Amino acid sequence: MKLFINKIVSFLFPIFLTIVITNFFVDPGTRFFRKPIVENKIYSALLQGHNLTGIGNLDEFSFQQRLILQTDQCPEIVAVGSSRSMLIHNYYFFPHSFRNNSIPNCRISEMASFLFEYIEKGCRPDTVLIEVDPWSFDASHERGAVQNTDVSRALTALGHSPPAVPRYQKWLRKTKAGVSYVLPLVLPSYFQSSIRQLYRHDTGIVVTDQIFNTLPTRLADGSLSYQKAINTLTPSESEKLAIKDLDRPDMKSKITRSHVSHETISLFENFLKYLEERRIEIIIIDPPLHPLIWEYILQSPECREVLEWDKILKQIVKKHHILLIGSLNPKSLGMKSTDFANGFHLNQKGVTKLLKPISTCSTPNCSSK
Amino acid sequence: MLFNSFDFAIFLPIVFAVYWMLRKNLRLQNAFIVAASYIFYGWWDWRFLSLILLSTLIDYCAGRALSRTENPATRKKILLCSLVGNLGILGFFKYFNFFLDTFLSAFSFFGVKISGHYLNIILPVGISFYTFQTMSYTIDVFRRKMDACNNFLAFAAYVSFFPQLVAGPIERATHLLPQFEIDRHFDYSKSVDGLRQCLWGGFKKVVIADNCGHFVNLIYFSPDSHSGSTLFLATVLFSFQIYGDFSGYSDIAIGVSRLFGFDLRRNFAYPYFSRDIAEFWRRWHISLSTWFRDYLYIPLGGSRCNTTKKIRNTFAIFLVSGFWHGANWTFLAWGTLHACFFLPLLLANRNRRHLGIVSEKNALPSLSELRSIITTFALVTLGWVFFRSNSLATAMHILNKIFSTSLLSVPELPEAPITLFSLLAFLLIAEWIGRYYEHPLMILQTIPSRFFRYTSYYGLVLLILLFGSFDNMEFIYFQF
Repeated sequence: MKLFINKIVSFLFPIFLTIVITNFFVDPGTRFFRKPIVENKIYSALLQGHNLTGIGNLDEFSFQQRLILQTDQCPEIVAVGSSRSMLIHNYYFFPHSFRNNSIPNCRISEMASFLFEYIEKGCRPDTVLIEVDPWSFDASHERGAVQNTDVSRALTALGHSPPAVPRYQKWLRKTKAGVSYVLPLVLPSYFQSSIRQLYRHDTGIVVTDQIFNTLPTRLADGSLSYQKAINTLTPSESEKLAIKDLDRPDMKSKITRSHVSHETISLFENFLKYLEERRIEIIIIDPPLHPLIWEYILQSPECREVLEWDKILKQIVKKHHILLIGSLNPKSLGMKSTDFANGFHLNQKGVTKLLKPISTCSTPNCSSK
Repeated sequence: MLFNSFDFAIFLPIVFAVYWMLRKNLRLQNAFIVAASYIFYGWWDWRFLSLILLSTLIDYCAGRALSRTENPATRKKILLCSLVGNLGILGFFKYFNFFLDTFLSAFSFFGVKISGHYLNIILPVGISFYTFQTMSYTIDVFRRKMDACNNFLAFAAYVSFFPQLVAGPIERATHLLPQFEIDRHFDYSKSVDGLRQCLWGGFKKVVIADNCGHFVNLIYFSPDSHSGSTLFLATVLFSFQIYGDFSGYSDIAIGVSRLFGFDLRRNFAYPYFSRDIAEFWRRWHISLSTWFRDYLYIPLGGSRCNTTKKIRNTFAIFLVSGFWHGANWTFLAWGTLHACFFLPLLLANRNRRHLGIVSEKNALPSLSELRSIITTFALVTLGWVFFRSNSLATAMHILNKIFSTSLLSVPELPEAPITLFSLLAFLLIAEWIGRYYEHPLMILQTIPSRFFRYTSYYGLVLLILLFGSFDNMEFIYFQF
């Protein structure tokens, strides 16, 4: 037995070491070795009003939080939501000042904490665009929100004081967060990205004033633009990307395993009340899903909960007298597959169509006038 | 828990270490296997653990009851209770909606509209596998092929043994259950070979099956928008996907079991090198084919009866086999097709021509062997169209497109086609060279050069790391 274990360990150790060292130093997601260098470059460029392309992985929550704290600007319009609203750019609201604080997989408590930050520093926006997805109302999704003091303070302000967490649970959460932070070091998929990075003639992060580039671009207003090619997809290319999303367990589970929880709805309504009390205009955005994904939802009994979503949302907006834009059903908005970047995200053409009722401009040319 | 997940990479070493620490106490070791297996299964959905427990209780009690009576009528009743219990669970979870749908369609065909309540239930992973495994125990006790087990822990461990719980091989009680009743000793060479088999299984799943799967899923999701040549290519790649996926799972299951001192039955024996359909069925999903042979085909009379009965028996076994895979007409069509392929061989008494290893004494197959292999592969691939399609109409539509002029157009290719085709070629070459052994890497134990052996292992690990698909794609056979 000892011989067996020794041999296994001595066989696996070089493999493990190679993966860890490669992942740490090549660091395609800029989480480890390249993180401080890259982050400084990002913040200084964005705060000076430039756009950046070629950014890999970012801790999106901290990124947006840091931008809110460091910027002197006080935007008139703020957008919060998930990756499905990251393409909302400032030119849609020209000449008003705008900031997009959307982050992937955003929870209601995280949205609230961003707005709380603005108001705390004495910067009350006139309008808030809130993008919501059915899966952001899943109780387990909300429980996974970033656990930091700012989120806790925002929750307290909304009357949802987080319950006292036992010490062992705090320890567990901390450990879990630590493990998920270092996990990419040992992940084969990260290793594959590292190897690709080694072979790619990567120019790294590029500061630019262009909005659409050959790689995704992070704009100075906090929003994102996809690579140029995504905005000119053919219907079959777009469908392929949607099918790929259905193949991904993490994406598919969004529509099959989400259960809209009353607890999260009440948190959301308190968030709306919090904004209403401060006389901030609220607009809710419900971006559509790709026609193929919508078809899949209609045909799959496991996705019934998602079908209820539009009804729930309509009830909420009626109750609060809020403007609602969009619907999960793409047909009701006249959206085609060419309006999508993949199964769950609109491309720029789609976002322009979606925001038509509220936008003052539909091209970047306005802001440059 | 998936074999190709990070969770399993942590789970396995822990279970391995604790298991061998308990080696001096057989009862504790078995109890630990049950606990570990329940965690393994419960990781997916703990609610369905009750079904495994129920199935275990039904057959354990049936076995005990059978051992206490010699009265043939009572014994038959006990067996019937066990079968009704097991097939009832299976039927409820797997076939209820199918039968209801068929029933309603039949009525609406005659103009009678009636409504029914479909069950909003999900299919418990691996239910067909463990149900068949427990049924085999009761049937064998009934046939007096083995004594009833009077050790509940050992029996529960036999039913829930985690390496083969969710996708087989479907073990016979006569083979696996006694292994839970005797002391297990750590065997170095067996464990090393187990790891080799896991490595090969992992390669087939993560590199071959999942990479083919991405392309196949894409094309089969919307067959309308693809040419015949693309659909043909996707179907060929599906042949490799399902082989890599299922045989990869079996290899990992067998390999992991060896680490714990257990021997599982072989489930695949290079089926794509078969020279006719009869040989294919002796080499593909062996544990299921032999299950149907022993518990259905032979009791019906097998092939030692008149022609009409031979035809009836052949169709029975293939249709039931198709239906076992899923509650869909496509699986029944797939079974029927294979029955049609198999029947001429049986009636001409040519179904047992190829019992040995293909080209046993030659490095390469002869032209006639190659022709037979390719023909068999083509027939099997034709059958996969039905297996993979969502409905019969889709399958027919795909076949229409494949057998049209658009077959001659340039097909769409998967991402990195050269890499994928090279990996498929590597799989075929490795399996051809290793066809004398249970799995190709077994050949390495005959090579004295340590350097060569380790270079091969590291090479394979590198292939997995570089070309594997690590998005935790589920195993196809989990749904059965």
